[in-house]
Amino acid sequence: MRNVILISEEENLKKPVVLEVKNLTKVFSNGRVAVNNISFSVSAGEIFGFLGANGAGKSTAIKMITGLSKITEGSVKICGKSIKTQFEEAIKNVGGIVETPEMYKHMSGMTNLKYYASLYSHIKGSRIREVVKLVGMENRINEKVGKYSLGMKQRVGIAQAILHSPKLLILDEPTNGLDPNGIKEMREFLKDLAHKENIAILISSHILGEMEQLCDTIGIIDNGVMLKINPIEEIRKGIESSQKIVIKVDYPNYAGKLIINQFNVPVELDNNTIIAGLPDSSIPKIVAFLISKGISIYGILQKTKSLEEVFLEMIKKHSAGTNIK
Amino acid sequence: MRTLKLTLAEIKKMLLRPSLYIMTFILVLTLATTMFIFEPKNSDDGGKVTIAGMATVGNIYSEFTSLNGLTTSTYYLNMLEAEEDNLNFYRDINNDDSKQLILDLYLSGSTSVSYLFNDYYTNHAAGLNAATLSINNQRLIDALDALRVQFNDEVTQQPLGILINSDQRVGFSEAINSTIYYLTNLKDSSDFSNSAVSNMFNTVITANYLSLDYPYYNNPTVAENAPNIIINAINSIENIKVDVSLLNSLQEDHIQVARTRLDAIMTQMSTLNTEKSASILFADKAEMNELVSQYCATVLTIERIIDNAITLDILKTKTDIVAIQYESFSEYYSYEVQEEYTRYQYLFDNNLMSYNYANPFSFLVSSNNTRNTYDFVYFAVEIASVLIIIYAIALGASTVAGEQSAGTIKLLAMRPYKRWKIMTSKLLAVLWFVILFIAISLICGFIIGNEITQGMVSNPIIMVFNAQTATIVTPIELMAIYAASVFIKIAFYTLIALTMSVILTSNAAAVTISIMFYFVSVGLSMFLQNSNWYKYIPFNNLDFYKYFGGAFIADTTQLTSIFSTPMLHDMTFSTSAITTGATMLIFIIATYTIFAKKDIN
Repeated sequence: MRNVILISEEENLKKPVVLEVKNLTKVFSNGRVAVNNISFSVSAGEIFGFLGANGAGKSTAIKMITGLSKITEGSVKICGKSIKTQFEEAIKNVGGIVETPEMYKHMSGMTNLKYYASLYSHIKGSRIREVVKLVGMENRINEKVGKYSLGMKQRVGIAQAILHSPKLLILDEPTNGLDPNGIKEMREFLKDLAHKENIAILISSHILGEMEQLCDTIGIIDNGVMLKINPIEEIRKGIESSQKIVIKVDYPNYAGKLIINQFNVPVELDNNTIIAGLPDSSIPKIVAFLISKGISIYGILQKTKSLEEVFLEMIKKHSAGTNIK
Repeated sequence: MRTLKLTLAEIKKMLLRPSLYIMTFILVLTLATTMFIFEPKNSDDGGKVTIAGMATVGNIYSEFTSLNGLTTSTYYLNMLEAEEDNLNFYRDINNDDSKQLILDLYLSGSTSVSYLFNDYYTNHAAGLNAATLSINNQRLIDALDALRVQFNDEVTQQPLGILINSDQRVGFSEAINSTIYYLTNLKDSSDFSNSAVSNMFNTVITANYLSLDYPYYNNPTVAENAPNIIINAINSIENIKVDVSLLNSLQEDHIQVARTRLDAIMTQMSTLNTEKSASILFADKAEMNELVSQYCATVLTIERIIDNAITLDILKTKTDIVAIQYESFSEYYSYEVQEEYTRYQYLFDNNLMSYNYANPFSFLVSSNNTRNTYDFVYFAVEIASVLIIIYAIALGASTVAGEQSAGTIKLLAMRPYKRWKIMTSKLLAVLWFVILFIAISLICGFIIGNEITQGMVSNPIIMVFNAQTATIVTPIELMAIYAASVFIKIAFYTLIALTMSVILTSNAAAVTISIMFYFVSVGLSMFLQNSNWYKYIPFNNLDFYKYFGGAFIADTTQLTSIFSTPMLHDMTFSTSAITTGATMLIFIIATYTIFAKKDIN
């Protein structure tokens, strides 16, 4: 496992940085700091996830990156071009959806795509058709957008985002409104785009499960601050190392003390259960030990810290930190 | 340019809106229905005087050269002499200050003085009893008596007293005498409400008073001071002077030239009479009548020139606002007088006959004596422009505010175009449709106009630019100028709509406010007509076509005059251009700046 990680890190180092964000800050006119000194980068072929609760500042950061909002401080560079001073050259490499994908309701999906295509040079009709096929909208593309379901709008949204073959794709809550099948399709589609077409993708979401399955790197945002940036493997390792065993016993206090003395691990008590910080492999040993000490066992569970707990812990730590200050 | 590409894309987007086609339909329908309210009056001849109903050429000639009647050469010669007398009159009064009272018959009265007397009897009528009445009466009587004496003295002692229209002099004296009679015979306060009395007061006042001091109106001590006020005011009456070189020029360059021309015409007439006196042929009679018309037109042109020249000279030091406080000039618009003057100067200098030339922009009085297509086009487009303004506002607002509230602006802002390019493309796209709608209106106007009028027959048109320069243009050229002027006006309100959209974000709010602004501005322009601020207010300066002639024909009974604004209070083409241009520039800067700096949500 370790070797594999090393190799992919090396490969990542060779890939060019498509999006570089340094000290990005947004202060609103009422004084509220929505985004506080965020820095990160996304390379070609990398899927970077912004993870955070609603209101954490993900959308605000994305709006600054795409030029929709004014940057209070900091810099955003796309393929080396600054969004502030070289807007047109920077943004032409970007496609995306910010919040919900709104298109012109009185026009059909195809007409909308043709309109967006006309804003660039050299997008041929064949490319438009190709993109429609890619998002699976061949059957409904000629209907008015006003009649589309949310899922269909998402698909056409993706279509207009990749129409001009951008190097950076920015998606704000892309699985919003999709059914489980659609979510799976979207996930595979995005992975293909990144890994086969070498497109850098920036995704923001609050759905942890999705992010965990999709992203190569996750940046956690809370209250406008980037808490941590982790490659996904590290997060998974962290989860692994947080496995616990939950045992339902008749004398939890006594059993707990026994385990602490014997195995030297922290133990929590919860009603008539004890929770011991040991991996699955230790279950037979514990069971044998407790029985040998005369403890009756009524149930055993493995408990892994969920991704949710990991992140919530991280966020709690951060909030506590800021409260102290 | 890439902005052009963006503009084309915006236009294509707008072409897919159903509202565009509904608007076109409504526009055409409105244009079609305007023909039912189009009621042009055929104009009177504008100087063409012909003698009809005469059997032979000789009959016409002798009728015209006879001494009686209002269409004889004698009548017109008398008119010319009267103008000469006028010139002499002004020449004389230039030299003598003591003619004030007489002059004030021309420069007379101020509304504030009627307030003085109205206030007197209104404020005091309630508390008056017979005793008080007689005291207050007495003061007034004394004042009026003094006035009468003064007037009579002035008039009888000066040789020029004969210049006063004898009717006027008699009427004035009678008015004073009647007022005194009424005052001495009134017994109680109820008699003061007699409107005949107040009219009497007004007549007295009219002849003598010049005052710009409105505080008299609410002054409680006015009753006591009334006599002194009157006398002081009389003493403060202004002198009139008319520029001597103008008088000389009018004499030599105009009246003398006119006399020469009249003699020549008369010679032609007499020759024609000698040759064809007995002819009953239409062509010959028409030829004689043409000479008659030329004769009369020459005199009428001179009359207009002299009248306007002197008016302009007398009032040259007064702004319109001041001038309209003189009762004789209560509806004086210097622009209109100047325009008429320029027009008739042009006709005279080039020896053209006014009835051969049409007036521009004079629907309801048609532009070449019979109603034609161009009159209808002007009328129809004037009405259509209201609709177009409303639609342009709606389109402009929806393309900015609408896209913001619908959220589609987000995807547009993520394209490789700076914000100013996006705003420019939207502005140009809306203006493109404005041009299109103006074109549709013109075309429909022409088609319908052709059907219901005498067609496109028109005299050449005398266009007077900025009241200073006269040229002859074809109706098509004039329509082009008119279309451009309508475009500027509509563009103005479109710009406002864009600015509102960028500030307000909500489509409904931006549209509502902009349309309200339009209607309020139309109302305000009527309401503010006597304000000193009139010419500084941008939306009063939008009808640029008015600077191309037709101002002096402005007739407030016309239906669409409520949408057009008069040339009031020293407005010129330059002042309007600067005001409008500066305002539009401010709106453009505001729109672009706000849109560029805005966070899009």
